[in-house]
Amino acid sequence: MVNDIDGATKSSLIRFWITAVGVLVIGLLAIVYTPGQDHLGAITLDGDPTWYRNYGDGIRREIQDRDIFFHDIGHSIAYARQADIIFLGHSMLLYGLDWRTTREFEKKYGVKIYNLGSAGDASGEFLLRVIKKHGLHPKLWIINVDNTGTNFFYRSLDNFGQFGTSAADSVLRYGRWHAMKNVFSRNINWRIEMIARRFFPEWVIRKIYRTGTGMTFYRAPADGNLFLDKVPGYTLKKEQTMEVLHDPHCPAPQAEIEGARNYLKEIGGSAIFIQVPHANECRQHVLETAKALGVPALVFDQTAFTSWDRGGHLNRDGAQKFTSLMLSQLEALPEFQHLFLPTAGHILPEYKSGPIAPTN
Amino acid sequence: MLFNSIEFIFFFLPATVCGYFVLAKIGGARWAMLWLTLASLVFYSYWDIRFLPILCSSIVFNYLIGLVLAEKWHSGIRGSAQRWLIFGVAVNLLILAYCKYANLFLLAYNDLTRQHIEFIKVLLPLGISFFTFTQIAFLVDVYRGKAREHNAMKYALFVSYFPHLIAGPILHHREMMPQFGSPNTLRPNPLYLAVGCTIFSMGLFKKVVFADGMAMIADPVFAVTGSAVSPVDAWLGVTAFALQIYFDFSGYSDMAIGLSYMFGIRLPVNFFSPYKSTGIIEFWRRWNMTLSRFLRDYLYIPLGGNRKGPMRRHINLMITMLLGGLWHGAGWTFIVWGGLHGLYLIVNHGWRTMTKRFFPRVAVSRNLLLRMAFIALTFLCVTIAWVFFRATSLDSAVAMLKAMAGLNLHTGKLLVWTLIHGTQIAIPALLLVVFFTPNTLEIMKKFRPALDTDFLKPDGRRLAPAWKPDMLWGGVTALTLLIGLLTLFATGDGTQFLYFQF
Repeated sequence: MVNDIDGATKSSLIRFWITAVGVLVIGLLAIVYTPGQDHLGAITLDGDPTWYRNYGDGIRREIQDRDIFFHDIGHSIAYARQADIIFLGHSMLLYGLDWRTTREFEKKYGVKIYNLGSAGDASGEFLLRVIKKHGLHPKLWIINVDNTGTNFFYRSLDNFGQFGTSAADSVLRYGRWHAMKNVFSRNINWRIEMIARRFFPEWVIRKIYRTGTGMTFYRAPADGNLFLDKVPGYTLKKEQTMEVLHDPHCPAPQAEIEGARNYLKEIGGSAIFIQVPHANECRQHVLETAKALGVPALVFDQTAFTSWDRGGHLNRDGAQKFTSLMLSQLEALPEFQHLFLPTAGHILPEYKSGPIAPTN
Repeated sequence: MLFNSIEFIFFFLPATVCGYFVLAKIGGARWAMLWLTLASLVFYSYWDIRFLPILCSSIVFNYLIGLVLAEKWHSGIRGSAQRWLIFGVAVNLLILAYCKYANLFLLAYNDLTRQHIEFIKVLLPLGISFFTFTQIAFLVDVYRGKAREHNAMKYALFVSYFPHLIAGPILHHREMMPQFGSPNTLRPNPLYLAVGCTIFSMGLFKKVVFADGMAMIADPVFAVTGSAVSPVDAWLGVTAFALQIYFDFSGYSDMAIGLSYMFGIRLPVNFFSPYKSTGIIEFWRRWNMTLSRFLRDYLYIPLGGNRKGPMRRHINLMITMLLGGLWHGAGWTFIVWGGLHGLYLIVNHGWRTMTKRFFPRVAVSRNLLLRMAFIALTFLCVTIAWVFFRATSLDSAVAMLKAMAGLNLHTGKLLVWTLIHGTQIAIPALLLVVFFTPNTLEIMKKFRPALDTDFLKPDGRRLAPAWKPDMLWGGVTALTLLIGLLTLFATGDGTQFLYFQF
């Protein structure tokens, strides 16, 4: 050890290094680590590590889904591999599937459900890449066959909106290390934002994080469901019944039917089509596609459901109602009964074909 | 790979430092130097593997020319040596000109002849200006009998040494070669590591917090056309850019010195509080000091320097600064920027001559107010020149200057002042940092982490906090690094240093 300069004795250097390394490690852990977190830097839901923060729009709109699913970060894909039923769709599915109801259903049948919805992806192409990359083979696919923006079965990587650094086409191009940095970077950003919100008055926060609504939501790696109760307006009891904004006469073109056929062929296994209700939905399109492919379809009258954003996405009441209604119809389908044999003593309801109006 | 990237800080740097000292212990200096050379090539090729053959070819070519020159010099064959030198320098300059300036020449040719010859798609290797100049200086020194290198690996390390490769400092063979492989650089020294880490942390902080923070103010102003910018915003944007480039270059220079010092190798000082200069002559002795040294030794003095009368000195100064501007970038804005600095230097020399003759008391005055006035005037001149450096075209630079002059008083819209919150505090706060706080080398002066720091004499008037290895500085270093890292994490991939493009 060379200590030939005044003031740099061995003991002073030891003190320097212990302090420096100690402060750095403790500081980094304090800011980055939470016990039980799903992936590095993941923010838990009020200390519950079974949820990780998935979205923020303080400075930029950013969502973790695509990086986490495509590049297999955390445990989400490992759980999805174990699933018996996987739901596919975009944000309408994410808002429409109520986690409390699906978890009850899982217990009832002893099945494992995974919500693989990816916000912002109008077409199912990105999810198809995820499915193929990770070899997902559930017994049953439940697909939200939506036509908003673009048809779900189009082989494109269309977005409803660009989510910062993780637009679908770019996520496919970069590697896992880049994705890990993205995910970590978002987590740190959000952690800094959360610390700022804790210590600074609202007017200061509004100046710094002025672009977004401050909306946050969390996702469960174990079943892919979203915790949306922190989204402003989502839990409000105020009735916001949806209107019918789309022409109900909307037949499915043959090209789209062929696209759906190819999609189903590529993912393999059994499938059921659904449509999460929204103001611009097109039931005829879903039903015609399903009929052409011989796939069951569960569609509903959207005016019976409530939304938090004027007909775009369901609110909590709407989601609970939809999920419970959809699952009750699902368990009545012969396809479902064939795949998931009922537990002893369980009586299955009778299946009715065609559009099913919800019971109020 | 950027110094301010997660890959560099968490993987490349620890692996390189550990590998260097382990190999030095096991295999001695040769293995350690080989490791450092290979690490430097990995560092360079991480951006684009296609850059690697260009760098390697340049090293091999110049090494061989260096051998020939040394042989000729020692044999006393001056005429032949001169021809080899001209050949070597010409090849270096031609490659640099092709990679960097081919499209500028085409643009000028198209403008003059009104033709539309398409631009060439040229691969521009990062740092080509730096490693070309370093090697030209080497060839000239060999020709002059001041340098000689037979060890190919040592020469490759001298050129490719990663702390300086991309954005300088421009190294002199004679100041670096004795350090590579010397015994005191082959053992890990906790003091060198502590000093190096502290300087690196300070540099990282300056880059990611100060420089990138100022970019958030400067970029939107320069992104809109000059006529839409209000006078207030124009001044804020230009001042923010002056601060951005200051902290960017200062941060990079600190990081380079800190990194090198971890190996016990001292780099030359390249940046020394240039905005504290009382004149442009002094500014260029503090800003990009190794480039100034190169231009002085290999361009200005060979042109005749100040040996052929005042008029010839002015012409030489202008040529030097115009070429210095062109070195910074292939564009008319850089040439104008260089020309403006040439003009400033001529005026400054004229002022010096005049005050010595007519106001001798002013020339030697240490009056604080007078000094502050000179510093303010120098800063103003430099800031105005930065408009050309930052603007994407001459038109937008002129538009920005018009806005600064208040000619857009009625058409300009408020932009930065109202939209970027914190501008009102951040710019004055950083100006205070620039003008009233000691720089990193002043804080570290006791340990002399850089070469040529003899000018850093104890100064009783300044209350500079002196670094020492204790708990307080351990905590300060860790917190500086922590804030830098968190900012880096939060902003994602690090932004490039402005000098990387040169």
